[in-house]
Amino acid sequence: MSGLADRRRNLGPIDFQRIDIPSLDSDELTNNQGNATQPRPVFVRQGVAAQNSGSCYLEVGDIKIMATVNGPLQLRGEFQSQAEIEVSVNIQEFSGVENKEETSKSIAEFVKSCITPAIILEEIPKSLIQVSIRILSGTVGSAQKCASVNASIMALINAGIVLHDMVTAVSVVQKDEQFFVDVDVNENSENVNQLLVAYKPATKKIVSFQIMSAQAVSKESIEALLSYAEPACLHLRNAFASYLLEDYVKESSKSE
Amino acid sequence: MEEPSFSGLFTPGELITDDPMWMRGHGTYTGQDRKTYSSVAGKLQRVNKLLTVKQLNGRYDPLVGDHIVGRITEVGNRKWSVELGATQDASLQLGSVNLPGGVLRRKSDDDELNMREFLKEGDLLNAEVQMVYQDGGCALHTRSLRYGKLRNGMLCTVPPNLILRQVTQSHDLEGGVEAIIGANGYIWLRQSQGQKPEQQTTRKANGLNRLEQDSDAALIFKDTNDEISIQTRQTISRYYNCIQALADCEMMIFGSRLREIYEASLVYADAAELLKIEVKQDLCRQLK
Repeated sequence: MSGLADRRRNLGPIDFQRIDIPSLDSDELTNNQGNATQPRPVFVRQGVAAQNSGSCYLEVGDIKIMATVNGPLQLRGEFQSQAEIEVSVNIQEFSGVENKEETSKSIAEFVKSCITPAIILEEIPKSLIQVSIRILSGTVGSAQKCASVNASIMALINAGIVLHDMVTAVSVVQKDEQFFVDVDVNENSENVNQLLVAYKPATKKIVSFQIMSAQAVSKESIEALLSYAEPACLHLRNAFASYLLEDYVKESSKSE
Repeated sequence: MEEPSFSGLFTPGELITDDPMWMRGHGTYTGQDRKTYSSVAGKLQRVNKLLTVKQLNGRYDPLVGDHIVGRITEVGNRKWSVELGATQDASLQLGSVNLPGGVLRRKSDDDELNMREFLKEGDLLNAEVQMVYQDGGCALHTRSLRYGKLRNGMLCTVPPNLILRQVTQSHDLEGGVEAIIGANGYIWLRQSQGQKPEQQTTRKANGLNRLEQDSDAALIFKDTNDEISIQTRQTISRYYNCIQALADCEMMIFGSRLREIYEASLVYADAAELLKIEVKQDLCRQLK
């Protein structure tokens, strides 16, 4: 009898419905928008967490990310002429992501490499900036990594941290002779070349760059991939800037 | 050469001007091309030839002369560390406080040993920013009767960008409450410290000046609270809720507005009603 009761508890209520997270088919490369050379529409909202210095919630496709920033916090001990940056990634249990530890490490690494050049570190000496990213939903792939970068940057802006530029990241996938911007592809997909690139759009400088492919990638394809990435990054930057402007107009009309 | 635009919002990395005649202040930086870019999201401001971008939100940025409220975090070597909500803790030197027994005297080793008796970790105080350091930290002083340890009240924190800088930051409000509005967004609400008339006359008779009298250790560094009536406590919480309502509606906070919103809030008999979001919005809509 007791065995039965236990089983029921493990299975949950009788009318429980399992959340079905569809696995992505890497053969099907569309970004659900029909327009594969432009990033998908993004939903952002700043200042969603009151306890942090800055925060941002970002949605793109089925990716849902929350980034929070704490700092600049005072660092004790030896004098440091530059600020330190800590990035932690937390993948929620219900997000449907497998292999959490490894994935979170690789996302944290990429985000750190993108946001460090964006921050004017010399202006905030002996300080620590903590960036924490919470992945609420979405498959892990290049698009997830890029969304994490974009969410972190918006959270940094919300925290009022001095930046050289609004860095935006975008992923481009090449399959045969076709190029797709901002699509969800599994990291280990075969027969595709994937490029993850983060730009400082205003100065058109690359801050971080990753290529994932099972085979050797020719110089020409890298150049072709980059030629798609640059306008996409600029497009994202404009989208984020217009969000900031909209928010600003709303706020200033409210206070006075 | 483009004239910078003073309307609208600048985002990080946006070109402000390529004209080298402008001076670059906070919130801007120069690229390798010697052009001026914005480094925060905010509004461009100009003082003569100095360009600054004032950010929409962020940590408190100390300015010399600001009246602030802070909390002691550390008692160190001839100085205290004070948390103000800025990027770095501020420092309060032992030499920049008034100690008992005369206004201006050298601080002895005894004073250094007794530092924790004057101010200890966790104490709240109000002070003025004396100097700002390059790294974002600052030095404070309490060399005035206005400044010193805080008691008889409660702390209310709001984002620092909502505080309007005024000549006086401490206000005597209705209901026997005094508010010290720190420029760093920390607001201290306390029972009014109205001086009793007989006390004032004895002081004059003694022939001592006010400064010497008030630098009495018992007054400045006293730790215990006076007796506070239930009525005053309720008034303080009402002011607290009023300030939170202003902060939630993102309205600037200053003395006369506090008086105004307090009066408007008296329609609600219970101060707890002010916690409802509809009530907050209603109160803020009534303000000028």
